[in-house]
Amino acid sequence: MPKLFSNKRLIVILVSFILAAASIVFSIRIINYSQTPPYLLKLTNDVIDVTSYVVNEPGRFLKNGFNFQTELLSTYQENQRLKKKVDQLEQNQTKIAILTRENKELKKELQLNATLSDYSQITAAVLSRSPANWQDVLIINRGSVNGIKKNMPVMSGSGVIGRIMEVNHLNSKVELISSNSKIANHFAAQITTKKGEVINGVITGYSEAENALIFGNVSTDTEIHVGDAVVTSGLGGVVPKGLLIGKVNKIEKKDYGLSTMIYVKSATNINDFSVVTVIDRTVGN
Amino acid sequence: MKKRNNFKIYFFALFLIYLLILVDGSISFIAHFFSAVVAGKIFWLGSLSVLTVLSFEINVNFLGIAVVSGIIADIFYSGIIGIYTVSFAITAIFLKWIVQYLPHNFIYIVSSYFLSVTIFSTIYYGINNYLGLTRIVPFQYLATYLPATLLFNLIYFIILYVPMLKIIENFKRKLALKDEK
Repeated sequence: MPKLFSNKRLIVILVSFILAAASIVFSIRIINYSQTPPYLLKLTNDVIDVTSYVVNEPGRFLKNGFNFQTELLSTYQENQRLKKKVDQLEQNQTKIAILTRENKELKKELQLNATLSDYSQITAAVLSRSPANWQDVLIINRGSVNGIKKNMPVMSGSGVIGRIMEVNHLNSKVELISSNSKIANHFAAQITTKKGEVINGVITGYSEAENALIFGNVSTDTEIHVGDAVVTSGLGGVVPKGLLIGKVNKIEKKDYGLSTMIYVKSATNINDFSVVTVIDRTVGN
Repeated sequence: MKKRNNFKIYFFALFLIYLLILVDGSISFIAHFFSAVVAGKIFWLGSLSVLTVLSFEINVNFLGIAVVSGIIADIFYSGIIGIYTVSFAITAIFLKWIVQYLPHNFIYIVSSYFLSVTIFSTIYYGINNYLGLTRIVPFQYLATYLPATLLFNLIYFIILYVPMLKIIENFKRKLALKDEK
């Protein structure tokens, strides 16, 4: 009978691989099922977070400087464009104020405390980004002490950019909506057509070729047009209803017309942001 | 005395690699401002450049340091412990092996770094692909992601090389002086 433990190096290699595999499996289970990572991981993340400020601040400063330069160059054109929008905006604001008041009164009458569309906001700065870019993970400087919870949606500008995938004490990880991970949580979304019809579906991925998000799981014959708004539907989780994701950019018939592929142009630049807003849905908390 | 020196070397190596792991994330964040399409295809590996230069300059086994720094990178960037760790550890073993056969000059160090990036990035992608953490198909990875990663990391390495070498040589000099005393 050959000696089982004769080759020490082979045993070390085997044990190392088993440990590595176990560690990966354990981490994936934590990410998928647990609300927050174990205390030791949280602590390590917080320590790294504190030291990373020293490294990341010059980078952020540099990026903000470039942003400032670019914005300064396009100020005139932007000013002209914005002037045209101001009148319309004032009109909309008045309308929104009236509707909000009316909505509040109606909710009171119906004894509704909060609905799927109610939420509060937490502003956060982006600290860093995963060096492996196919992971599409951002690190932001707000954690559980600031009220961040797992799966909360994250916005930048006027559009949704991702959701919280891990919460530590002082920082959190954000999985971008453009993530091409097969195990990523998808956003339940809906398209509101110009006629007012609603089509429910899910943001299933991101097309690099089209530079657009893919709206899938569509089961309707309703006509969808380019320019129709795509918003979160508020179904299945902690995402409130009505957060703008983008607008329909292209509609493609696939599989000899049996399925429809809808490309959604994001409402914000999903690759360039320094400050983000985490959305905390009021209902269900 | 040797044991104490080794401890100092490990601590120094860990500090440098840790610093570069954070810098990698910062560069990745800034790079998206210039071109999201290009930046989205690069895996920034400054940490590997430190490991490569250290393997050539200091004759110590850095496997343990590679494992520890890999765990740190995994915890901070992805939350899945093991992927960066395994890739980094295997690359450290490869570097330890190749250093014995190559002369210590810039061309060979760059070539080793080039091979290390290929090995690291491919193992990292392979594990991600196997676990379903990416939808990038192997052809896409080989045709676009790997060349972009190699090209930009080569430039990154050339920029980092001189300051990194100076820091390491300075550390070695200080260590030697202390030994003499």
